[in-house]
Amino acid sequence: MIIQTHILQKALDAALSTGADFADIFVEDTYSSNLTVMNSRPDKAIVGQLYGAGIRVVFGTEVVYVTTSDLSEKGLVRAAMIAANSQTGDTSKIIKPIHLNNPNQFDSIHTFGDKPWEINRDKKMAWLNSADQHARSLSTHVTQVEAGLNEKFQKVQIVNSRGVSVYDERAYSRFNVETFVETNGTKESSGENHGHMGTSEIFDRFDLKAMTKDTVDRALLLTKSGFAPAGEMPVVLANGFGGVILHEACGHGLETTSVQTGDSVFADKMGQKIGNECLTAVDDGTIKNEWGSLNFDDEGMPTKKTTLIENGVVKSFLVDQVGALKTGFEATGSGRKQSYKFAPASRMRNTFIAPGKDTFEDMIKDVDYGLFAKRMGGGSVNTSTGDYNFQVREAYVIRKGRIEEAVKGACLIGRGIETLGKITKVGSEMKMATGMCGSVSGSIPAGVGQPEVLVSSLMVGGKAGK
Amino acid sequence: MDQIKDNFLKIQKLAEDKKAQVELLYSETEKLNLGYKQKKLDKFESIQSQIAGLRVIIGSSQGYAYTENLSEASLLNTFNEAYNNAQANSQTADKNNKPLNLVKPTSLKITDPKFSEIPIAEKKAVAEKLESQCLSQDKIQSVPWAGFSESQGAVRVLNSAGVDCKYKFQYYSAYAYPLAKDGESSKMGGESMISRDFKDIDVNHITSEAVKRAKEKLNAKTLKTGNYATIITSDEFVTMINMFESYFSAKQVFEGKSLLKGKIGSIIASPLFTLVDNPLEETLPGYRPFDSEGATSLTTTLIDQGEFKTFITNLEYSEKMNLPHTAHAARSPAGTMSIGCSNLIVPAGKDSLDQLIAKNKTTVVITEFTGGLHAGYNETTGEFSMPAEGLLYEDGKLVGPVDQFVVSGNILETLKKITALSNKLNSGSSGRMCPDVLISELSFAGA
Repeated sequence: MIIQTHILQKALDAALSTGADFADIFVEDTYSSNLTVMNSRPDKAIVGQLYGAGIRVVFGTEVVYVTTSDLSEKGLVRAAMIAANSQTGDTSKIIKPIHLNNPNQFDSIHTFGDKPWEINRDKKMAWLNSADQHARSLSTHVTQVEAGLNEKFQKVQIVNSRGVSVYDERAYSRFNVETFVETNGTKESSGENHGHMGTSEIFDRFDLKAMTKDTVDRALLLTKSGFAPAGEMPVVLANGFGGVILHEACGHGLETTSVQTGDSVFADKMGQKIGNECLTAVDDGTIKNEWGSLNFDDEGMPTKKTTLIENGVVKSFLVDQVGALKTGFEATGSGRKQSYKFAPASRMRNTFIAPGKDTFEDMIKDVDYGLFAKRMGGGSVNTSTGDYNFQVREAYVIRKGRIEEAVKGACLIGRGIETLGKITKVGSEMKMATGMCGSVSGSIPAGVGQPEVLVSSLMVGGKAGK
Repeated sequence: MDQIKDNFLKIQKLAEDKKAQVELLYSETEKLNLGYKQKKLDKFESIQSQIAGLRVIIGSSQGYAYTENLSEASLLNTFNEAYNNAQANSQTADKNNKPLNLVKPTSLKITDPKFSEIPIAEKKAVAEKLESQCLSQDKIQSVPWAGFSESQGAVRVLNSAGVDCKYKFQYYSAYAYPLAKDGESSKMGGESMISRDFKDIDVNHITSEAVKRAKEKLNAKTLKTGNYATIITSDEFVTMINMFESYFSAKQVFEGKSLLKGKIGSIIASPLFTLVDNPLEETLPGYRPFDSEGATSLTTTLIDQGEFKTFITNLEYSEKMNLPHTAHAARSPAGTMSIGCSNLIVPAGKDSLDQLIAKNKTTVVITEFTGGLHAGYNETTGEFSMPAEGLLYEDGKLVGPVDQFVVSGNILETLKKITALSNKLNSGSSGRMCPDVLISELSFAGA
């Protein structure tokens, strides 16, 4: 518990004092640490504390959000009154919040080891140094290695006027390596990361050297690669981070944040068939220690496993409390935000295409000329038009059913619903990956995943032309 | 009572006892965000934050820590965290490194803006109009993004060499991104504005320009793959500036990441192209009378008529690389020390946009890089392959909008291909002010 419950009760009373229909308070005390190695020496070393509260007051469907970093009773009540006084509610119907109990004890679905501040710094530096030294040992062409360890331990306390009172602890750790190479005057770089919802002792067991080798191999490969072709062609997306296509092409459009105003291209698609039988898509916040998992969402609701698309048919949106209010759909435990400085919004947790029955070999052998996108980069979507794009970091030309030369500089562009309809084969080897997702409520950890997937036709943008 | 100063003096004493130097970067911000959707207040956010970031120097090593809890106990604990980080780094530091220094105090006169008190009703009225004026236009289906923001606060640097400087800021900003629809075609366009004076927020301009930009994209056709003369509109040329601005950082050079290493005095752009960093331009959001370590800001010409003039430095890299100190230390209290630009300004050219279009038989005007930088830019090589939308012109006349294409090139080669600049600058709301830019040829992959 961060704040005594009776203090939060007073703040809720204040928040509802001008006739609001609902109020909640999100309190946060977060420790974060970032260590990096550069030039084979310790570089960044920073630890910090986020400390504050966000008070949300809802008048009808109008939402007011006020933050404060003064967590005294006076500071919280003052912030609550700013929120309450921002609107004129129905003062004849002032509701009293349900009496708050102390936060429920719960069994976390996640297991954590030592907290970030309890782990010896030398051990963390040893992980970073091993990545640096291993990369440099693999090739004389390596010119720079940047290795980093990010750790976050977030304590949250959430109460609302309906009697919800929860306390949760969330640990995140992520290790990243970026390797820079130069051969014959050509420079390239490649990065890789591994993270989970949990503490960083996993890096004692995780094969950091293998991950580092991937970055060296890929950077060297890029120095020898020609530019990607351009035009419409079949694309096979590798498993793991290939799932970013679902995240961009579909996931954001299913969030009630864009559905509730009718702006999303998916707004009128509930119950409609938009994909082939092989396409089932899920957003699951309950996977143990997975990057985008939570015990409770940032509105205090237990997270769920939500089937978004089943055999090509839209089954559910991702619904937060305000989205539920505005659309009538039941909340799915999807209210998330970066920190107390953001109002919650409906967001993805771990989003993936469920395994199918096709084999990777079958997908490749049927392609006469296309692209195998082995490693994806970042992407973005305009949920109102459905237009999305993302970068491909490692790709190969498929020619007459065979994977051939590596190419660089490819990006994929398309429209969400059209692309989902063109997924014609789904493989069986599911893999998850970690990403950071930026949207209206800030940057949050979001898991993406899929087995291998064949999209029958996608626009590939590459510098080599047709 | 100056609680920040009082607590800093206690921290400074601790640092002296441990033979360390210390610097405190403090910021406080109050932000109000208002937005309407479907004629109802959809967003009312009042975000207040304060944060202190400490940098501790031991010899040539630095350690950092920050906190939003500004109690004395918390700040002293934060100092210990920063000290421990610096101490741990110093144990493995290269003994040949020179000791780091803090910026020394100078006489700096700062005129703070007089914060205006605008009634909340007037601010709400602006936010409401941003949506309603768009919605009143033909073919506008909705306005997914529209809003008004007020931001005010202060930044302060104190260090154990005696620096104690502070400036205040206040900005108003507004934006609208309406969605136009015609049959099956849906497109979004947008415009934004930032000003220190509430009266200068021109809702009519924002909404009319945003609606025009959304509607002109409707019913776009695919573009034939090939090379075209290209105009990058002023708002989108900001994305191009963002591609190469990190190359100016001496830290990037030191780390082997800058493509401009060894090129001071070389021609790296068209002779028509000049680029200036001006942190003293009060009307732009990058305004700062001193940098993040308290050094007095200067205006720096980075590219002068195509010639690369200088890298930008903070005190550390100026001394380490024997370069002029340009006062470009950049960090947030929750970050580590870096080097960065403030307001980047490309002076305007002489031609109107129509005159630029008329210079070539066929021209593509890029109106939006739809994925931004992360969709297809490789900073290590300068190569880009970016999804975009635009307008196709033949013989100076509009053929129509085009989309679903990727424009490719190399950013440094592109700077050399600039053949003209328009006479109109964008609003600079991102701290990047520039005109429309004509490039002799870029590669397009489309249908």
